Amino acid sequence: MATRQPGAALPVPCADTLARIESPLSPSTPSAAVDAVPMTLADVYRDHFAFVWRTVRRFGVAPPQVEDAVQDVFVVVHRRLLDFEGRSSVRTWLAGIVRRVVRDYRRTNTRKPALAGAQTDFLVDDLSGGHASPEENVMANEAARLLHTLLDQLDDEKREVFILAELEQWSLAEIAEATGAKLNTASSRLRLAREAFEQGAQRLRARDAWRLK
Amino acid sequence: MTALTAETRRLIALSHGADDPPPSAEAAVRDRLIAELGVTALAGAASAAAVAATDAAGAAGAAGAGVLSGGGTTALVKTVAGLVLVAGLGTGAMQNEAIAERAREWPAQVAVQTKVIARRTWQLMMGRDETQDGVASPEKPPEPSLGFDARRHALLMAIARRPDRPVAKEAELVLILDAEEALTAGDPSLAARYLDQHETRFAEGALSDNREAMRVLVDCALGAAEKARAGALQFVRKYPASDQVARLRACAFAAPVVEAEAPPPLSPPRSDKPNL
Repeated sequence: MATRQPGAALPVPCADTLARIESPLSPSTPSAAVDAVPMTLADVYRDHFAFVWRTVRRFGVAPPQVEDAVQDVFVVVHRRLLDFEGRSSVRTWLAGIVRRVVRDYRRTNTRKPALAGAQTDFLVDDLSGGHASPEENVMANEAARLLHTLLDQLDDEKREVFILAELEQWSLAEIAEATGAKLNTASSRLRLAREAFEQGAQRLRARDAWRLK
Repeated sequence: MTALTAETRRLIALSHGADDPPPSAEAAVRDRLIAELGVTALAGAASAAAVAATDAAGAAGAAGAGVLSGGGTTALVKTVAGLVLVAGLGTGAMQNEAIAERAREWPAQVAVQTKVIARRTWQLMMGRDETQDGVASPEKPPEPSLGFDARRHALLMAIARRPDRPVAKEAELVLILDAEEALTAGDPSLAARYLDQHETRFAEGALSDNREAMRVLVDCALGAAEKARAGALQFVRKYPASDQVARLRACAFAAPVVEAEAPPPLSPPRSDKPNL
């Protein structure tokens, strides 16, 4: 096999170069990814829309703003798709975008936890029809309302880690990647998040505020 | 690590699915994204029904855009019909001699070409070759240049994904793609005329940098090495973060000629981390 100096320019005639030009979307790293079909916005949208939607909601965007926020997430995806090199998984990359968009939303579009109760009113409509009986609907509505009430009591970092671990069943490594934290930090946050969530639940129980039976 | 209580786990289990999107949400957000980003950005997420409808319309295809938009299908299909229509107008209305000559051939070929363009447009936007997705045309395109081309697809997708830029008008896109096609077909002079046309109509268009990048490629193809290098360096100074930089460098600086100036800097380092 012929060898050449690293970094030496290939004396390829221009016409040939044109014919061999890489797609501007090709991964810049060699090896296995070279033949991979570039991921399109349509691919990401088709495969991850539901994840983005529920994560936007669970991370704390009020129901009337979820659609706007989801749209914003995919606009960012559209802008950043060329930068995605496949070193992380698509969903951890997406989760990173979602958390930033949501934080922007919460900073600019909400007036803080006083809205927590109002934010869950929509659930009655959204859940109707998804369960076999009216009793199940009521129970699911109540559970979802309580879940969001408890999530609202967590700070952003704990909330994100808790949702990804307990609701999305992600591994700690994925959570660390998505949140840009070290593994130990993510682990510590998850422990604190579980404790805080349980404390919140106990307070609610103590006030006899929820019945799941 | 702290474990959740059984009651909390039950709460989570009961809440399962509560935050999933309602059935209409996916289509609603898709339509909004198409409106914001342009049809090329997200057409691949169209429903199978819309694709089938378009394919059927394309097969019927003699009347081209009229047929496509007349079926009462989705707004997306209508938008694609608009793109096909613009492709026709963009080609036929040009005053450039070569393009006008091509336009004169349209009456004879309009039926089959409209059909092929409609199909090609969909294939490009769906991001799939017709040989891959099983919706192959019953007959082959009349000209090789109208067939699926991976580079053309890559360019289209690159344009569709343009970061932080205004959305290109369809006619603008068509001119750039026609220039790209002429260049690929080995006719840089024709490509240059398409670029002239683009410059006249869309001097400050959303695809101006594509035009300028392609000027360099045209110069390369014409053998004007010095001009290509000067153009490439100017381009890099003007658009240092462009995804076209590597392409221009490969073209303008590939020839083993003593370089008067150092190669331009590469694009900034890329990262998987989202940068809002």
